[in-house]
Amino acid sequence: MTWLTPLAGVILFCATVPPLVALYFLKLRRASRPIASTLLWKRSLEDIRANAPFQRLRFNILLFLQLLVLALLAFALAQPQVDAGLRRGGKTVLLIDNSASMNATDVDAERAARSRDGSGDGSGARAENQKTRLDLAKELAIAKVEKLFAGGIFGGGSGEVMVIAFAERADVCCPFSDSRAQIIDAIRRIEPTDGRTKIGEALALARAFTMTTDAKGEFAGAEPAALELFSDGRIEDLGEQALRGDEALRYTMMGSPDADNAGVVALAAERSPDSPDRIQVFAGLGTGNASSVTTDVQLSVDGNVVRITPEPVVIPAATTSAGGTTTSGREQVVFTPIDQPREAVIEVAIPRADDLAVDNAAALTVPPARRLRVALVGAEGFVIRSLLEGMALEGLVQLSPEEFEASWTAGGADAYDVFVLQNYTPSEGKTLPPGRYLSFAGVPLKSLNAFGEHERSRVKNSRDEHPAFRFVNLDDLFVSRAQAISPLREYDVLAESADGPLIVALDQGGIRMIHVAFDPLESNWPFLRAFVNFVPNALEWLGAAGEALALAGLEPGETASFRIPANAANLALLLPDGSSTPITVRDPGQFSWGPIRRAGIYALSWDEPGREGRQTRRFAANLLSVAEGRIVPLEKLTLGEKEVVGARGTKNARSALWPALLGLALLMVLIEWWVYQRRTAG
Amino acid sequence: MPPTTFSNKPPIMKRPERVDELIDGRLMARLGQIDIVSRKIFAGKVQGERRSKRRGVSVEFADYRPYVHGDDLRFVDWNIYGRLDRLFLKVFLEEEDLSLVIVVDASPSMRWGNPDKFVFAQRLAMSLGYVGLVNHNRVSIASYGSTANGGGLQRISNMRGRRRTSEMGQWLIRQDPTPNPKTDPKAGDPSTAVGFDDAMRTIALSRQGRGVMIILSDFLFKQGYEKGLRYLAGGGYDVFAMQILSPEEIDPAANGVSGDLKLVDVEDADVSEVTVTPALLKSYRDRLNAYCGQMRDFCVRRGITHVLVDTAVDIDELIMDYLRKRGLLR
Repeated sequence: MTWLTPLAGVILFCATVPPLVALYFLKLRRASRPIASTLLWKRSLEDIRANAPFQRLRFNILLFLQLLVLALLAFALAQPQVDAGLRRGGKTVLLIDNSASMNATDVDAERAARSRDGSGDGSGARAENQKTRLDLAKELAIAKVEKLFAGGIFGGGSGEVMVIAFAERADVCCPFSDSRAQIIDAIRRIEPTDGRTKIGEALALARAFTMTTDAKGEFAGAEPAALELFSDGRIEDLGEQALRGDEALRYTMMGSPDADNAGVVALAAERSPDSPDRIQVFAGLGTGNASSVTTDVQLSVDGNVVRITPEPVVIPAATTSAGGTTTSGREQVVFTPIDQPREAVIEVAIPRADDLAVDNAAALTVPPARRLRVALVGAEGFVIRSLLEGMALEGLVQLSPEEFEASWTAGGADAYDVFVLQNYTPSEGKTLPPGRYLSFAGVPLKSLNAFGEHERSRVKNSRDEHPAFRFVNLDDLFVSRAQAISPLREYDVLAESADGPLIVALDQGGIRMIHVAFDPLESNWPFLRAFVNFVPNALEWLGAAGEALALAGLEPGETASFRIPANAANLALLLPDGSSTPITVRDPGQFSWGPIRRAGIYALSWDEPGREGRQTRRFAANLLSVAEGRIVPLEKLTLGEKEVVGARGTKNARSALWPALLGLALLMVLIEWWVYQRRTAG
Repeated sequence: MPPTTFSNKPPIMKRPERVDELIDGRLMARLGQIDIVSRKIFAGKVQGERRSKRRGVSVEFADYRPYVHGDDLRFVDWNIYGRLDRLFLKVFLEEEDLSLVIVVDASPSMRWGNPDKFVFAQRLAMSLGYVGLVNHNRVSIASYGSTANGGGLQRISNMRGRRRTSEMGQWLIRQDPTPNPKTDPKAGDPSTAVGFDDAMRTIALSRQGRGVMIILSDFLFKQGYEKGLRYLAGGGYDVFAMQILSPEEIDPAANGVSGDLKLVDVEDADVSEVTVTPALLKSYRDRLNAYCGQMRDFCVRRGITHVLVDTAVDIDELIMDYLRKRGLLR
């Protein structure tokens, strides 16, 4: 229970009760009775007087009723509220989940049922105006703030409220403020996202804002804040979080326990190396429902349905282990290859209406079928050249270092997808331009900080998950002589020996490079199958920069980043909701935009000198998350050793008690009057 | 005037105006069969029906004793002188009368309760006095504490024989505990009222012979009862202190005592404001029990018999049953 204006109640109580009691002392009329002797009565009074100074006030029903009326009035004036949950006078942090699962529309069961029954459009899309969990969470949060700031005649300290919206990342919508309008405006401005749910950053932010520092700027302690969480509890990093001893978290659970959802949780599209015109599409479906879901799955290319599963796909029900861990039901779908030589948007959709629409479809942009143009720079090397000649390339050109450097000014760097540098070090005063490079030995970039040589090195550690290391085993690699490099932190070390890095990668400032710090001929690598796999992998990773991203797909919360022509101008991005936003490019030739908030198809368009019309590149962002698609709200959150049970918030529940208290006080006045009448009548 | 009580219940006992209202014929008939008993054998002034410690003139031989100069030669046993040539006196147990003194407390506090404590005391004194009269005891009755009849210690002394019954009854009827002048303007001169201590002192000093003394009072004296009783202890009387309390005093809760009250002492107008609660009633009961217990203890140590009497009991039953068991009557 909280008190909006406790001071007013205390003042009323203190101002009225003592005078009333004093009046009773003064006005108490006692019936005079003669008695044989007061001897024994006086002694009896002495016995109990010490223990009961207000003995004379006992059993006076009128005084009792009048005190009760005053107490009720004082309580009413203090404006008590139950279930307000907000601690007055202190700091309160509203943590509002705006992740993808909060877009579920199961907050109004009746409307949801009606929509499900009438779902005849087959698209699985929900009505635009349907209320989501986030809408309800915002309403509840605003209601809480209004309760908190509902002033009385004495006002009272309302404390400070901070608003944090969190999904993949956390945003401080409103730092600690005591302005009701500012807080409510901040809550209203929270927008839905299609990101995953991670609360760690939000908690860290809340703690950072509650931390206080002394005059010297050093940590002086943290004022505990009441945390108000509005979420469905489906938080990915919940297991990594723990509440501190002085932190109190109140969890308002959003969503219905019988929420229904099935979605696309995985999507991949590949062009066959043998016939690049054909695209093979794989999709994974999942559901968090307690019962299995039967649905058709359809494949669209540029908005036209081209495939539909011949039989409805049955997604098995989610299972819950004895330990309480829920595993979503999963099912795989493989479509027969489609002919699509041009760039296309591939979309897999479940034509089924459920409570969460965002994961009912997933899309990918598949770039046009094309092969790489590779330039080999440096000394004529038999091993690498023969390997490149064996690959299906658009073209392979041998350039001398001078020719290579001369082409920079003529803009010829854009004529090739990847440069393979063999023992290349730029001439004095020259710097490698933006581009994609696979470099062996040499010092193409000064930031590698080469300082000598190592001998007889073996790989001790490697990033096997990197795409360049697909089917690459470096265990047998022996390097007789390698560069000693000390790359900056921007470099990603892919393989290292006990002496230092052997293979590093860089993706910064338009330069995408894999640098091998030794000449393959100084090692046994050319004789290993790993080398034969590494070079094509590296070329594919480098050459497909941008396109590879499109193929892999983006997720909400990530940043879209890919190459565009260096002379591209007037960039504009078309968002999934149909709105367009201008884009300013800071690095010529590189487009970066993010974080992506909503899932869907994005289209980047620009003007390019020498080419007619707007150039367009599309990319897709998908919610491919099993966890986020499991939208049944979690009843209980475990944060470290603390367990927080969720409460269902209802905005319309009136928690103010003063009307009831006033009514009770009126009733007491009536009873007091009745008793008084009976007494005086008797 | 109705009896002064806590409650408004009708009076159980009417104030007597005639002797037959003090004692009825049926009770008189029953009382004629019993007698006052003294635990001691007292010496009386005249021959009575009671055995005396004094050897004297009677037909009941008690002992011999050597003759000393001055003895009455009529009681010399000449037969023994003839045989032993020594003078011996025959000593007889002398039968003598008993002095019965009844002291009635007529202070205003006795005019209280339902049944009224003073009416009860009047009837009890009448009954006991009647027993003394019919048994040829020397009956004296005294009252103190009242301003009526000129105040002072009122008494009627040395009555003997059944014919004095009416006189004794009339005297008792005339006694009236007047209220304290502080509370009742119709009261007489308060200086004429004799307190318990003074009354007991006067009675002890003016003792005529030995006998049984019965004090009828509530013994609720703020100055204490100890000093007065101490005058009587060892003074040749077999003292019975009969403490008369009304039911309202013994159990106020059961007799309508409740609420916020201003209790006014009828004797000294002392005021005590009370709010009657269970705790207060319990404390009162504890205090009453302690008071009576202390008095009983005080009396036992001094050879006084303490008898607590509730005015609600029937006088017949009290006399014929209870007092006989306590050894006052036989």
